[in-house]
Amino acid sequence: MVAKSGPSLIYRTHPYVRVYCALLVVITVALAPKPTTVAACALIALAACFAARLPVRKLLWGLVPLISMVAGLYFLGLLAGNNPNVESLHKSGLFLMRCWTAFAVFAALRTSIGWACFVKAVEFLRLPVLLTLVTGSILRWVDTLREEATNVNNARLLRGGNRRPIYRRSVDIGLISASLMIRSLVRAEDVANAMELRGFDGRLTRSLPMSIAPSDFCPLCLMAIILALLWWVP
Amino acid sequence: MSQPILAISELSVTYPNGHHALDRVAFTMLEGESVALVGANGAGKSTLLASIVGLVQSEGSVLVDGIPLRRNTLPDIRGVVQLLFQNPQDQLFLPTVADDVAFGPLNFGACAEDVPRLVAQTLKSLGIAGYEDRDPHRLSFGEKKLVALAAVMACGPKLLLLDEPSAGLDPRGRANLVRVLNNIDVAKLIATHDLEFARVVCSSAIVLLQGRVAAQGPIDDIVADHDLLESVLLL
Repeated sequence: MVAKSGPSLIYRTHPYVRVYCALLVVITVALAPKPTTVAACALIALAACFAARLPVRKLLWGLVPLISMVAGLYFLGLLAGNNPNVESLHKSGLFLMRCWTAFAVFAALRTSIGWACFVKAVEFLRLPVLLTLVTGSILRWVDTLREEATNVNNARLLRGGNRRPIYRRSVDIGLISASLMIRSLVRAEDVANAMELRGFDGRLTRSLPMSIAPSDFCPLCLMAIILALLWWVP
Repeated sequence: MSQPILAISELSVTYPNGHHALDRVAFTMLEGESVALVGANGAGKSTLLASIVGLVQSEGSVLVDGIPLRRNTLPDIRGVVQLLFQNPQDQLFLPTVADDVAFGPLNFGACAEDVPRLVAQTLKSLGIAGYEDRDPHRLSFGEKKLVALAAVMACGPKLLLLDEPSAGLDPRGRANLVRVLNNIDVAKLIATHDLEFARVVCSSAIVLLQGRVAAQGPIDDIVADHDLLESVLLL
């Protein structure tokens, strides 16, 4: 067994297993026909969030765009001539619960593992190397971009950026976005140089896998059984 | 007698905006030698390092381990010479330290079964054993420098180019880097304006001023020559 760090159960499972469990729950919640199955998956997701020590504030913030999206779709439906009956409200509520559960599962996963483990876990499934390489690069880039954006924004705030009128702040945000874009292009060029210097000639290579024992898959089997029961038991 | 690992003559670099970054630079380095490339900001140190590995278009002659620098010889040259970037953030791009260190050897044809052992050995030799599964992005600056150094050392270079290796390091990280570099027995060309760092790592120095070689000789003589250092804007 590896990766036994952290106090809660979720940190005691192998990172690959966490990824596969998350994917299983998301697939189940996306396809499950019964609201009870979706609700049970939502409870599992909530438990995973608490086990991963995900701050409640983050979990609630995730609801804002989801409620906006579902409410927007509902009202668009009304504008298109759908009847505002209980059934359509029920469907929208169920859709909201599916979306939130998927969000919560990925939020718990993101809190408990780094993007590196996610990419390795996907590679372990022997998916095409181009797909995993591109996924890894995008995740890494998003991480770097977020960090740089936070640094730049902090620098802006420390120099009184939020005391300017709102239109000036919008201009600042635009300039910062442009600057981040240029910086990421320059960084991309430097990274490309570093790769080329270490012999990269366009051939795609898989990353080094983490060691995983058959016993590490026990939690995954348990999760699969639970989800199967939730799906089939009336 | 040691063979020349690097022989440069009449090397000039002109950027597209017309700026002459290097002007007829010439010097030779022997196998195993450690040479400091000192100069003020904008003297052309980084450009010189980049031109040796073919990242910058240059005129003149560059021979690395007897291989002339040309477009078609770049793969061979990069098997011999490696460059440590000033910013390790730019050099580390893979999910884990082990992947990053393994990247070069795998590209240069090392046997995939031997690579994990090579990675562990390289990390151990640099005092960062056990870092294999860590995310390079989450390390401290000093640790990133060492991991970037491990990544280039794992390629087995005969000549190591280092761009401002001591920049941004705290005294402990700097002392650690000095110890590590002094234990590496490949030839090193170190671009720096940290004269004290250069003195403890290198035996000789080349002084650049506005893209030209202003002086070269034993490091102790160069550091002791205050008039020279003042004239090249290092004092």
